[in-house]
Amino acid sequence: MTQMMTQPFSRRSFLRSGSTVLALPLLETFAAAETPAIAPTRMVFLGGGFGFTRDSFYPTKAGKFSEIGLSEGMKPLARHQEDFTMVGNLTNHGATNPHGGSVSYLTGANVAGTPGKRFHNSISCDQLVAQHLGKETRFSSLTLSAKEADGGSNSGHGPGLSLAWDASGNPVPGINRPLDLYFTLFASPDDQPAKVHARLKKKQGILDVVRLNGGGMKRTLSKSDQEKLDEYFTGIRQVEQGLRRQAMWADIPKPQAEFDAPGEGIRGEEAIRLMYDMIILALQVDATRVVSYRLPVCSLLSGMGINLKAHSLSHYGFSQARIEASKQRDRKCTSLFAHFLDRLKQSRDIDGSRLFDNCIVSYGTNIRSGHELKNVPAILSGGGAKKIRRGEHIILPKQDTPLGNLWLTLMQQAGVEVESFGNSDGVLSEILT
Amino acid sequence: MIDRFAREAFRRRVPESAYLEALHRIYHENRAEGLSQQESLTEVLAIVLASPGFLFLQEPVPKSVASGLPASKKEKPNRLGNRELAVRLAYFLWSCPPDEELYAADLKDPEVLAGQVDRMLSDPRINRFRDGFIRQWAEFDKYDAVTVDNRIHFRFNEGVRQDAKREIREFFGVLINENLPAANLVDSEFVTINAALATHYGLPFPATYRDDFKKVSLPADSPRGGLMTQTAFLVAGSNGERSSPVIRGAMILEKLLHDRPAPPPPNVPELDEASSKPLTNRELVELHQQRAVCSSCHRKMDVIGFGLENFDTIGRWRETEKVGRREVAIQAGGTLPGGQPFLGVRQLKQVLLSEEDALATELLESILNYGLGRAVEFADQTDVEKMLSRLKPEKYRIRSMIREIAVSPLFRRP
Repeated sequence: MTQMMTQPFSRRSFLRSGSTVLALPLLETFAAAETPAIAPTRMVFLGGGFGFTRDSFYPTKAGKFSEIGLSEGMKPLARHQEDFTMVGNLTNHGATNPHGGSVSYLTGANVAGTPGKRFHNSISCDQLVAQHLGKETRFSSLTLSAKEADGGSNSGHGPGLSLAWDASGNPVPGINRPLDLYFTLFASPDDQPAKVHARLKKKQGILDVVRLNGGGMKRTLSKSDQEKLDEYFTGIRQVEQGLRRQAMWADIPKPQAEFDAPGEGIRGEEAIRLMYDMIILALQVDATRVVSYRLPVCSLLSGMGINLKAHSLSHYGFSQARIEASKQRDRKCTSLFAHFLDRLKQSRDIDGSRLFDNCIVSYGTNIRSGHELKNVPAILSGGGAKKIRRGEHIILPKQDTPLGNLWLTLMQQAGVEVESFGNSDGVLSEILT
Repeated sequence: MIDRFAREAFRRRVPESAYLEALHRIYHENRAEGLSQQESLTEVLAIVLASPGFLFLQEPVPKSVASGLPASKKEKPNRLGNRELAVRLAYFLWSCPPDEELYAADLKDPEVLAGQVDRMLSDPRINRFRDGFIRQWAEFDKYDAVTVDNRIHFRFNEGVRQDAKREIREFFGVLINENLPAANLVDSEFVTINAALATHYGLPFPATYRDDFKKVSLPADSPRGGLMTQTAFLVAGSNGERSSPVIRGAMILEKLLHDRPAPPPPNVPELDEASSKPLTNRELVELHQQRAVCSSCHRKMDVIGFGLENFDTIGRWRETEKVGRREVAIQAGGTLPGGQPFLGVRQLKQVLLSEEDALATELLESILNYGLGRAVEFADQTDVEKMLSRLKPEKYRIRSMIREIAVSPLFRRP
């Protein structure tokens, strides 16, 4: 079956995922908004929660993978070894929660150490990028996540709803199930413009009513309570912005899916595969140019037959059985990632180039291994960042180089004009050609 | 119907008339569009439940405070209104809106207030405080996150797992209902268990086919009693395969000694089997103390945790532990940083009992935090100390503590 991956793919190739066979729809049916002649740059951020096994995942030497070889945990990426980069010596300063690999992963905020605040966060780079790259698409960004039965901390993600945080530092909700992403992306009978407009008008009406209630309340509150209420109103304003955007797009039909909606209860590995596949469809039809995905951890483990919760597994040091399970998880994560890269390479972009060549893909978390918050895993791929060196392990000269430098570098490579971000103190010139 | 629902949902604050009119309008629009009465109403009620008036507990402050202007003579900026205090009390003790009697009571009158608090403490709804508070304070989520290896610990089945959480709730319930001193959390002459836990602990229990919990007196020489010898506490203080003196010690420091250890520095690697020969748990843990960065905190936590080493991963008593193929006798003793030596859990409890004031501070501040919905701050210290000094002569009894908080001036302050 692996041969199927390497064959040249036509636009009507088939996506396989678990037992489902997904037909990739014709691009013409997607010709929705004005399509740019040159494929735009896209960014994908993947966040993994807990880190990887200390002794078997991380390469010890710097250099070309073709020369230093791949570590045990990265073996499944062998067919992509010329096309991805691993960056060492990055640390997300300000991340102190050893169970919260995703809280400030994309924000670089000083979560617990900001004076006067018990908890602080700031805008995540996917949302910042969305402000620039997301203007012309139906969705400024897609924030994908997964509901873990055991909560954020036990999966290594920590507080938050997805990897994304908005401009005021509030969590952005995620699309949690493949089914929900399906109905976000594809047409359904409820999408007729008249129906959509009527629905949006009604929703706006409801927001107006709710606002009537809040207005009177505000005058009688103390300052801190007023701030609390302001958060509520900010939320309402964001919903309204979303409604306006939906109204703008209501007359442009969503693409028709050429496969059935996925089941409701899909979890773990199959959910990840489906999400990966649909991310690619979303990018391909230019529904969005920015995607972040907070990957499920606990359900992946239970689906693999590993009878350990993610947190228990992260304390693997003392037990050979757990070390084995942890290594098994590493391989599963990298083979799913390899699958994602396969799909990116197989899919054609609007100008005929490979979708892969126009994407900047990042995969990592705040946690290296166990509960270590230093020297975090940072894997990059895709050809969207033309200047980033590929096919090698680069160890940065300075220990604890701020993770913000990575985001700054990637954003600049994507053409976003930013001078600094989060905890950044400069660009990673070492990873550029 | 809509008006009444909104008023109750807003805890009897009358909503703005424009708001109510808008709700009625939406209802009639829905009906005109052909929706059934039930569908139309459902949507309107859902809007009420999404409105800030329902979502937030409103505690209006006098205009002077909201606007930052000097107070006029009539205003009492340091006091909640009657309705607001009733709501605050009800959510503190019952986790729900006030009942008719509480809404109607004149809570400005200290005797009326005390009478209402006593009534609420005796009402079965007080169990909602018990469950809501203890779940957070005893950090059940940490317990839930521990995966116990069922192949090794086959006795720790799902029934025991659930019963162990209930044990903590029931135990705390006894402390409230019988108004027992706080020190019972360190050591008590009884346990609150059901038949399954009695078997787990090796304690006698009346023959029964039911899983009811009972307060059972302990034999004089029993190591059980108190919070830290209960299964849920001991399992949370393990990694599912081995007991963890480190976590147990840290939990005792935080919960019983009001001395929360700092989080570990960011670059601590997993403690692993650095030595090729099998080590005892104690030897393994002592590796922590060899590194200077670790030893400053671990010296304290680990020693306390050693005192519980006679309890295995799942909380059963043991005299030996298996190291490789040998059975090695447990050494459950040490010398605390203050210089006090102890041997075994009973002596450890004696040491902890002398720190009753710290335990009481931890509990009072935690309950206050729960009741006010905010952390206890420096500005609250005078009130906290006053309450503690009033509770001390009676040994910080739990029900009295809750009562003291509920009637305190601090609880009435916006």
